[in-house]
Amino acid sequence: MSAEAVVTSGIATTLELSTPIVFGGLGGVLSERSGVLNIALEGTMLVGAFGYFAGAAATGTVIGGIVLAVAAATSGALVLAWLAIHANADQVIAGMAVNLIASGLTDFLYQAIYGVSGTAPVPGMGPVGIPLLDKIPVVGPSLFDQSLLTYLALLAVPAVSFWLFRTRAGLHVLAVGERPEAADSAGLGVYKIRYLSVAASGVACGLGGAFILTQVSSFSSDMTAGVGYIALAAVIFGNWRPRGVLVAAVLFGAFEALQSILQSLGVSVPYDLLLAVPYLVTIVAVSGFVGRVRAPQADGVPYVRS
Amino acid sequence: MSLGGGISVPGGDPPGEAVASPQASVAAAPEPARSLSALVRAALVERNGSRVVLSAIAAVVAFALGAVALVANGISPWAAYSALFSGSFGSAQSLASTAVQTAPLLVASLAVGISFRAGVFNIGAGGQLGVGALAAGIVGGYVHLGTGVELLAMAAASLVAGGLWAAVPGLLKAYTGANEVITTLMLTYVAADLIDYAVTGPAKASGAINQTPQLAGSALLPTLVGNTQLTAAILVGIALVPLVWLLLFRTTYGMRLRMVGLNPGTAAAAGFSVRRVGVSVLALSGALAGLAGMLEVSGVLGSVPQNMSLQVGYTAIVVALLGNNGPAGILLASVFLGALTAGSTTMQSAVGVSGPFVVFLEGIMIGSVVGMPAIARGLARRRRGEARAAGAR
Repeated sequence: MSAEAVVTSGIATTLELSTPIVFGGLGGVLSERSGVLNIALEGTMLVGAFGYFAGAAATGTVIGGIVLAVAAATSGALVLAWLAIHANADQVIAGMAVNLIASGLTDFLYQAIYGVSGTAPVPGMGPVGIPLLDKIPVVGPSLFDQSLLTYLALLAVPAVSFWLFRTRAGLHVLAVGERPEAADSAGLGVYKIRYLSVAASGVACGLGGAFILTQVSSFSSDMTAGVGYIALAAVIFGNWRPRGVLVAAVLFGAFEALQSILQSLGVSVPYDLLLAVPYLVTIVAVSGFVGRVRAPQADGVPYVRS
Repeated sequence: MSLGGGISVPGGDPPGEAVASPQASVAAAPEPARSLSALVRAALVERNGSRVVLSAIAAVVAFALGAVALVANGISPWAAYSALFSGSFGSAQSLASTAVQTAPLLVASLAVGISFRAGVFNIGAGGQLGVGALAAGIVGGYVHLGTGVELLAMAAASLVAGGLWAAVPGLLKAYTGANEVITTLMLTYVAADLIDYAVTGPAKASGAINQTPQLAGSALLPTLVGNTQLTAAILVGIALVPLVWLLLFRTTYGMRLRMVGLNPGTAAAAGFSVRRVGVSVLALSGALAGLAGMLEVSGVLGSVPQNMSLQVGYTAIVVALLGNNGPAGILLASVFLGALTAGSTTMQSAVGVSGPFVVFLEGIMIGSVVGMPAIARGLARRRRGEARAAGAR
């Protein structure tokens, strides 16, 4: 491979691997900024992936897949929301419950619906070049020849960031996640805002799960394979900020891309140990060794109106 | 407000520990002569009832929702559930496979239960189990010692590996305040990657398959009943139940541990080092989970494979919750979930669905344990409200 080809494929692969982490991470930011700890990102994304598969298989269209992915993942997120907000459940346990239900139910439904006969691959989403820009050497084919969902993920980062920190609704979310009592006495509906935020996180996870499925066009058991937990890591490493999530996601994606490039160049690397890097840097980040990250103050704390 | 009208919780209940908290366990024992409906009411609405009742209701809810999912896919729940039962308790062979599934799960659940008792959320038992399994697999596969000594060396290696693996989040929590939920969870994935690295590289057995060497002879736990997979692993698990009980309820350390779980502030005021208890509990919990990994390698798998399933670590959380973090409850709940796992193979051949369905049931069970009290209290309040409205008229 020429040096140019290596760089091009490195950037392209990094973006591709980062896309689901960005979606999941934005979902995590929205939910946790409102005060609902979300370790169910993995399960919600898995439900999204299955939803895309079922929707695309039933309708034969990409749109059908995306609609069902978002609908299914949002329902999954609402289970977490109800347990966390209304049932005052411990949010770690509630998240585990959603992850287990998602893992079991998607695999069960896949076996029950498609298992015996099997199905043809569903329509996926190939790269779409942006006219003119994709003709630029190196950055053209790497940055501007991606899945539509990757462009959407990249655009969603500044959009969510602006919404969260610069609009009234976003500031309400922040208030509810930091000081729910104060927000409540100021007349904000703490429960409603938390429900909507977790639902929004479901939408993001649905898109992330859909992206994972569009890359391979068929469903397999537990196919998110830890991406949801990497997204959770990106939330923390990114200090609960959309831009931080993007930086973390690109960093984590680059580690994986680097490995596959080194391997294709015949350089032997301990592949599995590189895969552990995102988890390790997250542990370092929560331990405050390199600039402490700070969770929203009411993250994970159920709000009980007195 | 419409959404917020919901749930009010008695003031003393610390947020975030609604159900997992050890406080449920200090509730008064239920009086013997109460009707079933009173028991259900106590467990769901008044929060002072028996945890066994709450767990049993959760299991019923899971089977009911499971039946709905089966019917929706044109599968007879009767056929599925009877296959599940016959595959777990129906014959000597199925009883043996239930015991095989139960052994590592029981030990891992005791590990999780101990940490929950101390108010420490070790949700990474799967990772500790994995490094314990790896350590035991390496010692058993590469270091050849005599009968008995070999197994002891493997057990020691797994205890140390699991203990150290969990001591890291313990120390981080104590000295940097890092949340153990995040660190133990992340370390589970690191453990999975470490196992794959080891079994494809430095610890790989000769031959084509990526795994540690196949254990043989003195590195295998002795088989209890011929022609079955039943090994002494289940005896180790059962022996640990009274030991953990003694530790929790008959030693000073156990009392400190439970006090820290109930109220860290009071424990600190009484002069206990909450920090030290936290670190040691995580190390102890990790060591036990590591031992569960040794039981799995030496009693079930025979070697550490690539992509080893660490699912037991999550199932152990379900068991600990259903068993209310007590040794006896955990024993019951682990037999129950071990049976479901064992029976799922028979269910596969009978109706074509298997393991994932059981994972779905597990998820519903813990969702129900933490969610049902809220539903029940809501219904009770509505009924009271209606009664008041009727009285006013």
